[in-house]
Amino acid sequence: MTERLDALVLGAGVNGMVAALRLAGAGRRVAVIDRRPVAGGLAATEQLAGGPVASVLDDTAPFREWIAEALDLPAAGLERTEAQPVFCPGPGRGVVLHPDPERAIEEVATLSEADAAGWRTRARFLDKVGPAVRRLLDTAPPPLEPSLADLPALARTAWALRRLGGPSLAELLRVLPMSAADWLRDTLSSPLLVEALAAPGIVGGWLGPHAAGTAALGLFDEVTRGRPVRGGAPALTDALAAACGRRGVELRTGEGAAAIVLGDGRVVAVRTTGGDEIEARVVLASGPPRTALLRLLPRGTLPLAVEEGLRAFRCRGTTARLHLAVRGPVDWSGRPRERFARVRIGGGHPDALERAADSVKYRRLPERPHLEIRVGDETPDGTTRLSALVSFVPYTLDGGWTPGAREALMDRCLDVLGEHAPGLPEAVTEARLLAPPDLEELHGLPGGQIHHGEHALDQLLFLRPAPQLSGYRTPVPGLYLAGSGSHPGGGLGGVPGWLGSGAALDDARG
Amino acid sequence: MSAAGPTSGGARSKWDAIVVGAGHNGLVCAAYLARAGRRVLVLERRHQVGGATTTEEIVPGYRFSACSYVVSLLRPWIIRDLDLPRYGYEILPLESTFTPFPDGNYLLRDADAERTRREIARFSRRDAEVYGEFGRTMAELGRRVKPVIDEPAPDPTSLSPRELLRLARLGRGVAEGGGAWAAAHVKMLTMSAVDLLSEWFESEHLIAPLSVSGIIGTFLGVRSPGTAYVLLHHYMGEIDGAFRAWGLPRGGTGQVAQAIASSARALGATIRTEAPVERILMRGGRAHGVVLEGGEEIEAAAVVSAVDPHRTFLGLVGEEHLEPEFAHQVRRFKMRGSSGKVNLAIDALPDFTCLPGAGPHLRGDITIAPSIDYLERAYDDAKYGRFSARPFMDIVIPSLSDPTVAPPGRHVMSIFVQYAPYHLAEGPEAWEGQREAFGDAVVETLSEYAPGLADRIVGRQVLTPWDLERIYGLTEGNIFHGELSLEQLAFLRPAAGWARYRTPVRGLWMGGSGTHPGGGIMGAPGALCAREMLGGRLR
Repeated sequence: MTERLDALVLGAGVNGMVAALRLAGAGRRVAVIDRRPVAGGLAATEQLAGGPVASVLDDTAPFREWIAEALDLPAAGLERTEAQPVFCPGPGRGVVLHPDPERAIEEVATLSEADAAGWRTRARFLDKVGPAVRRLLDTAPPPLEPSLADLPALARTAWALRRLGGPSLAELLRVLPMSAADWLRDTLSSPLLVEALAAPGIVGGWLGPHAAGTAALGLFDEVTRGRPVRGGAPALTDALAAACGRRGVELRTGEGAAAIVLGDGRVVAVRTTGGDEIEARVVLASGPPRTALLRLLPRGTLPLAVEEGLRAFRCRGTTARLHLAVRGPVDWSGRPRERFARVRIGGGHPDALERAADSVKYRRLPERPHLEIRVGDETPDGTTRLSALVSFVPYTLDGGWTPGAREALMDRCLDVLGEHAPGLPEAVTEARLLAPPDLEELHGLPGGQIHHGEHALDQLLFLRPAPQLSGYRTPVPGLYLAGSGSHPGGGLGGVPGWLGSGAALDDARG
Repeated sequence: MSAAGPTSGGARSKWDAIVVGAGHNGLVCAAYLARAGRRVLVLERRHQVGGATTTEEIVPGYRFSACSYVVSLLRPWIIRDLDLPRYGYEILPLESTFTPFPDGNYLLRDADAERTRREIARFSRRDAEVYGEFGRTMAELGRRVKPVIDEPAPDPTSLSPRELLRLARLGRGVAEGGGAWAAAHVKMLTMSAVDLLSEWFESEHLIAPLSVSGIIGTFLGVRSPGTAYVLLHHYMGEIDGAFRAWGLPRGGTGQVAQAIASSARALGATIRTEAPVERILMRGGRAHGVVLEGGEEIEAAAVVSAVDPHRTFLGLVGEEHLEPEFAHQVRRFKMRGSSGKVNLAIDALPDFTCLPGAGPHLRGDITIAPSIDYLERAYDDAKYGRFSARPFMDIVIPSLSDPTVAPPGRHVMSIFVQYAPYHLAEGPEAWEGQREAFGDAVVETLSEYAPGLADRIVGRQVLTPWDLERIYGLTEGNIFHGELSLEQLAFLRPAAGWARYRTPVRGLWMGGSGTHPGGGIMGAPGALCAREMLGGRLR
């Protein structure tokens, strides 16, 4: 890499690779560097008991199909598969959330006929507002001080919202600031169902299902889910890496950024942890905004107001990662011999989820952690791998993250699992638990925050990560943000990478 | 005034309008209608006017502002229009906020900026330096949104040019001077009081007492998103144009209602107490008057309900007269009362360990809000259906400023207590068995800061949300006629499409706190309702 690059992307996660591919597609000479030895970021593949598991994130359903098409990823081996049902153990047989609408209703009807009707009402609303909400999430956030050039995009978003019609728009505006539990209870009464549907929007964040604004987070999650990638996160990472190869994007792993080098106030190069200096016209940071802007930039580069805004961006980690290898298949007591690739275990009631969330406030371990689990197929040698996002585990723990604390958390996770899958804890052959500080260390996440900044209404759209930084541009010419710390936030959707690189391209075109 | 009929068209009924409920909003509405020449009858179930704006002699010789206890947001134009000072409306300013801490320290903030700065500096020099700027910023943010509370809420879902213009005007005001202001507003609407305050301050001794303005009357904790906005609401209060001023009405809050009632009467309104409305008289899908308990029918061209939306539509109108979709919207309008009131008659002032004696700190507001975790634990109790074992309390001793409310040398202590959830885990009726335990928890908590208080109590009134519902008709004991959460404000209060004081029932109007701009002794809902009835003008 002796010649000057058009663009250097920091971080080879999903967003970083999407950004690099978009730039390469526009004819730019691009490279990506990543401090870890493997590409993939939070979706990178790790080995457990001789098989692959996704490092932290494995939900590929949000990865946008339109981005995959635009980057020609199917040609690089990306395939989609049918969405998988989610099993939520609970009293009796628990409930299975089927991706197919009719089967979902049948299943819900086994809990309550009224809830089946409520489910229909909800589904109709989601269908109705889905396109407008997706438009809001898949385009750059409306700027605070729009210029003439912004008006067409603003008008299109306004039109998409207006087209909903008065009553649906009013209903959408009513729902957004609500709590997830209140919103769900408008149409559903089964506590198990309410908890199961409230959880996905709040996983990774600091808020419980009774907190205002969590309805919006759940809604955003729900309307942006597509079909998952066949082969899961490892396949997504492989396809992105393969596409980088085809497009001539150099992926340099095992070497991170140590400093961003400025010349005449604009970005000229990046100094790597290996001591190299890579020259580039523009730099896109797909990692956490705080790292890029407060650690890599020379001190005093940012205006004070921007620095303050960035420090106010809340990045408190609340998620741990658990990988387990167990002997034999997993039999769930509610549904023995049925196999589920996705299992969501809460306490069977939104209050249980709220109690788990309470523990974060008081800096203690949750009595009953909430588990979002992906279960692998049983391998020929009789091993099943489970990977779970363990929710409401505080980064800052009273007494500190001692070995004893880790052990206690592991025990609680196994207790919860054992409750619904008797014998599972005894069948564990290998276990790995990553507490929030471990995630910070492993993936360079300030606070161990897996979304690079908490999801909350005041940290989305043009407030993410700070009002002055919400358009992917920074006060430093040539430096862009293109990661989960920007709109529309964390997860494997790929949108921040797409929109961040779009901002860089727009500027280059003038 | 098409809906309420012409003044001269009294052939069919004697009244142009009947107002159900003589709370402060019902009275304000009636006064404005009477002022415009309409023949108005106000019907009140209780023996006196005021609703929850009431002064009551529960213990002989001691007069309590039983429910609401301070005034700040009563609109100055209403005070002027209705000439309230002439009828006995007088506000005695509350000049300080005193917060005792369990570690023996305390924080005393008052109108003297320099003294307050020195006080805060005892906890953090940095906080002391930015405190003034914080207040100015909040006041400025408040000033920008304040026009909203004096107008019907603009409707962002409407396509009418008039509404778009109003929205644009509001947007321009809010964003005046740059996008940063607009961003600050959006953040304010969506973030928690603690998150907001933590961006400004480092000392919990300051953050905790400041944060409670964000939760008063809500079913939210200080860490709940949305509470920053409620905090801002409190910086909008004004008395005689001075921002952020709160005060005690002379004679108790009941005196405010009395003044409005006197003004309404002078303007020609008729007020009947002990006249409980059983239902609204419906004929041909239209409201034609009311039926009192006992069967008396009173016809009127229009009916205004100043009681809450649940009671109005599910009670007085009846679901059979409503479209199912609208009935559903009303049912899901959340009431969930979260606070109670304990009123104490005391024969000597409380003596706080951290600041002994009867100093000026007792004349202002006394806040029990020692830490963020304390407040959050209090909220956790409520989330799971219990009253707070150690609650947040906002206390005033009105007898220090207004000796008329207690015998000489004696005092009344008004304690607003949160949280007291209407829906106890065992059900709301369980309050019957827990009322005294709740009162005890309040006295015990307070005694930790002011030992010996229990021995000074000569009488005690405990009002739980269950009592507020039964005595004052506040559904689920909600003091604001419906939670003040974002999804229940402005054009969504009480339901989308019906936020303009009109209702789907022809001839029926809404003019209570369940409509924009909501609860508190503000008077705006009643006045704006009258304005809409009069075709957009108050004269």
